Amino acid sequence: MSATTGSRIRCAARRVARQPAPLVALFGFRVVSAIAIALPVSTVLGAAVVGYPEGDAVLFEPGGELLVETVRLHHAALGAALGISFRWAIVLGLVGLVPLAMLLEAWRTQARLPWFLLVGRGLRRWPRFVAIFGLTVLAQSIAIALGVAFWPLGRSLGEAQGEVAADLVGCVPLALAALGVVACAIAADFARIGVVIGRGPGWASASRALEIGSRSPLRAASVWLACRAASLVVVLGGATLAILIDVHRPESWRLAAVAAVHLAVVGADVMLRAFFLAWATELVEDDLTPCRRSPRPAALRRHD
Amino acid sequence: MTEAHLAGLGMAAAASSVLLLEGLAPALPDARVEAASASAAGPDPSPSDGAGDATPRASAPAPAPTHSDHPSPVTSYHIDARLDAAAHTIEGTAVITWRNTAETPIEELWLHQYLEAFAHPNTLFLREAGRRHRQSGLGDPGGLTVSSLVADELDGVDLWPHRAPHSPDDPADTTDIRVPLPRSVLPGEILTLTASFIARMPSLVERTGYARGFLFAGQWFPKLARLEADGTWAHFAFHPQSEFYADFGDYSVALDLPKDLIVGATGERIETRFEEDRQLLRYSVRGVHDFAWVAWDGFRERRETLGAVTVTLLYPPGHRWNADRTLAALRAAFPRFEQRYGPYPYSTLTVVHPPSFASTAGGMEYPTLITTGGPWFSWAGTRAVETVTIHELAHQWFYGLIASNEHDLPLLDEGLTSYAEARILRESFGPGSALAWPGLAISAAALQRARAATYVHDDVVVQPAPAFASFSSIGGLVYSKTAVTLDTLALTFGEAAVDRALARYTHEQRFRHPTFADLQRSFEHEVGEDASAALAAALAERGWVNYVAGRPHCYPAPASTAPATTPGVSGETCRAIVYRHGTLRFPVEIELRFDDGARERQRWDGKGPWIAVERHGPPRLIALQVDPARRIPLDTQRLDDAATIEPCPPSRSVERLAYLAALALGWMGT
Repeated sequence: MSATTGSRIRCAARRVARQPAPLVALFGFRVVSAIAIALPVSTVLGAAVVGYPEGDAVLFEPGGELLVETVRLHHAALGAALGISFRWAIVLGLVGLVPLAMLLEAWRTQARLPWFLLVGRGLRRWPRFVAIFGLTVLAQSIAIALGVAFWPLGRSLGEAQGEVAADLVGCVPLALAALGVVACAIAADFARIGVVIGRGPGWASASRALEIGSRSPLRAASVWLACRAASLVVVLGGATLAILIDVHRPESWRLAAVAAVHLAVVGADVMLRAFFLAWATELVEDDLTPCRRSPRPAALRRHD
Repeated sequence: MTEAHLAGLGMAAAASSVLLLEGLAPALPDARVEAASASAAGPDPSPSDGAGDATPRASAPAPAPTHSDHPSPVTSYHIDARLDAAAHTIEGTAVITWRNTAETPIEELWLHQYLEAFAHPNTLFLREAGRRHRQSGLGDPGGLTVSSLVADELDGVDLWPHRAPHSPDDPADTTDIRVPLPRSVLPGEILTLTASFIARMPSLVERTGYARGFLFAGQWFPKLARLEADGTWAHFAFHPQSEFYADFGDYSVALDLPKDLIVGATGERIETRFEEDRQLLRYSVRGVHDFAWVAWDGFRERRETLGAVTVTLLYPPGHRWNADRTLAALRAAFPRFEQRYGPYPYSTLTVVHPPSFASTAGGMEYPTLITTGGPWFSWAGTRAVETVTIHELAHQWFYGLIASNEHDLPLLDEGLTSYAEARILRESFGPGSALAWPGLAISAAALQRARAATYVHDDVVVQPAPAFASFSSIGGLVYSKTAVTLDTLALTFGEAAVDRALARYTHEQRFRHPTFADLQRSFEHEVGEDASAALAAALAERGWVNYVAGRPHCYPAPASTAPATTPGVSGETCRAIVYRHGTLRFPVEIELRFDDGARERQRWDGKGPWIAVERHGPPRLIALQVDPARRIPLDTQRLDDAATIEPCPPSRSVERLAYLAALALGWMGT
C-alpha cells in the first residue's frame, strides 16, 4: 500500500468518526427496516408454534423437526409472507437511500449540520439516488443473465478435461458476472458521491466521479473487497458466538445476548460500508475540489 | 468364487452368527417375564435407548445364517457376451438352468425382456413414465432381441417362435412374454434353456444404457420370471414405478470387451485374459438373482477390505472426496448391517459412482453391485453421498438376500431399506444427518417424517408398485411411511425389540421370497401383538394418528375439591383434553407445565379417543404437551402437540430474520 493510499485511509477513518450522528441514523434505519421486513414471516412462524410454551425457540432445536413441520404445513402462508417481506425490502431499500444521502451530505462540511437541513438535503438527492439504484440493479441483472447464459458454454469448453474442469471452467462466466455485479455496486457508490459533492450541472458530476473511480479500478475494488471481507469475518464471528449461545435453550438472556451480538455485527457492517464511502469520497474530492479542506499534505497528493 | 474362499467365508459367518445369537439369547428369558406385565399395562411409552425394551412375546430365535447357506440354485445363468462398444450392442448366449420348484406340473414359461421397455415411446414403461412424471424422455432406443430359445430336455425344439407376441393385454409392450411348452415340466424337473440374444443398449435411461463411453448394463439379458410354490408365475410387464423379481441361482458370465474399459460387475472376477484390443473377463457368483455390470475407460479405482469382503470403488476423476466419504459410510454401515440383518455371504462388493454425464445410472442396487452418485463437490454440509451409499448398501439385504417381489410389494425392499438407512444416518450423524450448516442442523428423520405425513392419507402401503398414484406417492408411502412406522414402533416398544423382529425376519427369509405376512409374523413374535397390529394398520390399512393437545381452562375450584392452599390464595382447577385422532393407537406421554415452573409427566395408553387432564392448584396448569420426547414420529401433525394459555411472542424468529434482513439491506447498498 502506498503512503498516499495509507493516508487516504486514515482520512477516511477520520471522516467517518467526525460525523457519528448520520451514521447512527443509518444504523438505526437499517435495524428498524430489518424488523419491519422480518415481521410478516416471523408472525407466521410464531403463529405456527403458538401452542408450545417455549414459543418459537422450538424452531431452532437441533434436527429441525418442528421447523420442517412448520414449513410443510404453512408453506403457502410463509410464501405469501415472504412476498410481503420482499416488497417491504425493496421499498425500505429505496427509502434507505435518504439516510445514505444524509451521511454523504454531512461529510461535505466539517460542521455538524442541523437535522432538518440534513433531511432536506437527503430528500433532495433521493430521486437521483433512486435512479442510480435502478440503473445499478439493471446492470447487475444483465451481468448475472450473461453469466448464467454463458455458463453452459464454459462447461462444454471444459468437459474434455473431465467433470471437475467442466464445472470450474463453467464457473468462469459466473465469476465474471459476480465481478460485474461488484463493479456495478462500486460504480453506483462513486456516482452517488459525485451527485452529492460535485458542483457540475445534472449528471455531469456523477459521471465525473465515475471517471475518477475508473482511473484506479483495482484500488477501488481492493478497498471495497477488503471492507466486504472484514464484514464477512465479523458475520462469521457473530455466527460462531450465536451458535455457542444456543438460542434454542429457553433462558431469555440467550436471546438478548444473541441480539446484542447481531446488533454489533450490523453496526460493524454499517461502519465498514461507511468507511468505503468515506474512502471513495476522499478520492473524488481530491479531484473535484483541489482546494478542499483535506488534512492530507499536498506533497502526498502529487503521488496520486 | 473358489471353494477355499467359500470355506473361509463360512467360518467367519458362523462366528458372526454365534455373536448374534449371544446378543439375542439373554433377552429371551427376561422377555417372557416382561411379557406378562406388558400385556397388563401395555408397552412402556418411554423405554430407555434400547437397553430395557419391552418384549411382550418371544419364541425360539431364528435359525442362524451362515456363509455356507447359499440356496440350492433355482434359476442359474451361464452367459457369454460380447460388447460392440461402437454400436452399443451386446451379443450373447445364455444357458439358463431352471428347476421346477412348484408342486404342480408347468405348461409354460414366462420370460422378462426388461430392455424392451426402451424399444419405442409407446411401451408400457414410457407411456406410464410420461404420465407419472418420472422419466419421460427416451433418447436412442434400445431393446432385446431373442433369436432362439432351445430346451435340451424338450428335444431341442426352438420354443421362441411359439411365444406370445406381446405382454398380456398390451400389444405395444414386449417386456413380459409367455412361452408355451410342448409338454408339462414335472415338479423337480430341470430344464436347460439356451437363449441367443442381442441387447441394444439405449442411451442411458432408468439406470441402464450408455452415455458417451460409459455403459451400465442392467436388465440386459432375457430373464425367467419367478415361479411361486403354487405353480403360478410372478410375471409382470416392466412399469416405471416397479423393479424386479427373480429366483436365486448361480451366475457365470463371460464378457468380451474393448481392452481399455474398466469394468465392475456382480460377483467375483475369476478370469482375465487379453487378446489384441479385447479383454475377456469371467465373473462368477453363487446365490444371487441378477447380474449387472458397468464399463467406462475413465474410472478411478480404490479397493478396501471390510471383514472378508473386498470392496471395489469405481469413481470418476476428481471425486476423491466423494470416494473418501463413500468408503467411510461403508465402513460405518457394513458391520452394523451384518450384525443386525445377518452376514453378507459374498466375497465382493462393487460400488460405482457414475460420472456426472451418466448421473441417471446412480442410486441403484444389484446383487454385490451398487451405484451411488453426486457432484464432485457435493453440497457442503449435506449427507447426500453417505445417504445414497448407505441406502443402496442396505439393499444388499432387503432385496439382495431377502428377495421379496419388488413389483408386488415394494415396501419390503424400499421401506425396510429406508428404515435401515435412517438408523445408520441417525447413529452416525445425529441431528445433522441431512444438513449440517452452522446454526442449522436438519435430520434425515425430520425430512422423512414430513414426507410420510404429507402422503399418509393417500393410499395403503402394502400394494403393488404400479398401484401408487405417482412416484412421489411411492416415495412418501413406501420409503418414508414404512420407515417412520418402524421408527415409531422402535421408539414405542423398544429399539432392541424391533431389532430382534428384523433379525428374525432377515434370518428366516434369507435367500427366500417373503411376503408382508412374514414381516408381520416376526413382529408378532418378537415385539408383540399390539406392535404387529399397529404395523398392519399403518401399512396395510392407511392407518394414521394425530395427537392433539387442547388448551387448559381454569376455573375456581369448588370448596369441597380444592386442596389446602396458601392462605390468601384462592384455589383453581385447570382442565385440558388431549385427543387422539386417527386409527392407530400408541401409548404416549403427556407433559404438564405449571406456572411455578414445575413439570409433570403422565402416561396415557392412547386407546381411547381422548383423555381429560385435571389439576387443582396452585400451582396453576398453564400448558401441556403430548409426546414431549417425540416417540411417535407417525403423528401426522406436530404443531398441535402442545397448547398453552401463556403463549410466547415470536421473539427468536423476529431477531434472527431481522438480522438477516439487516445484512441484506447492506448488500442492497443502503
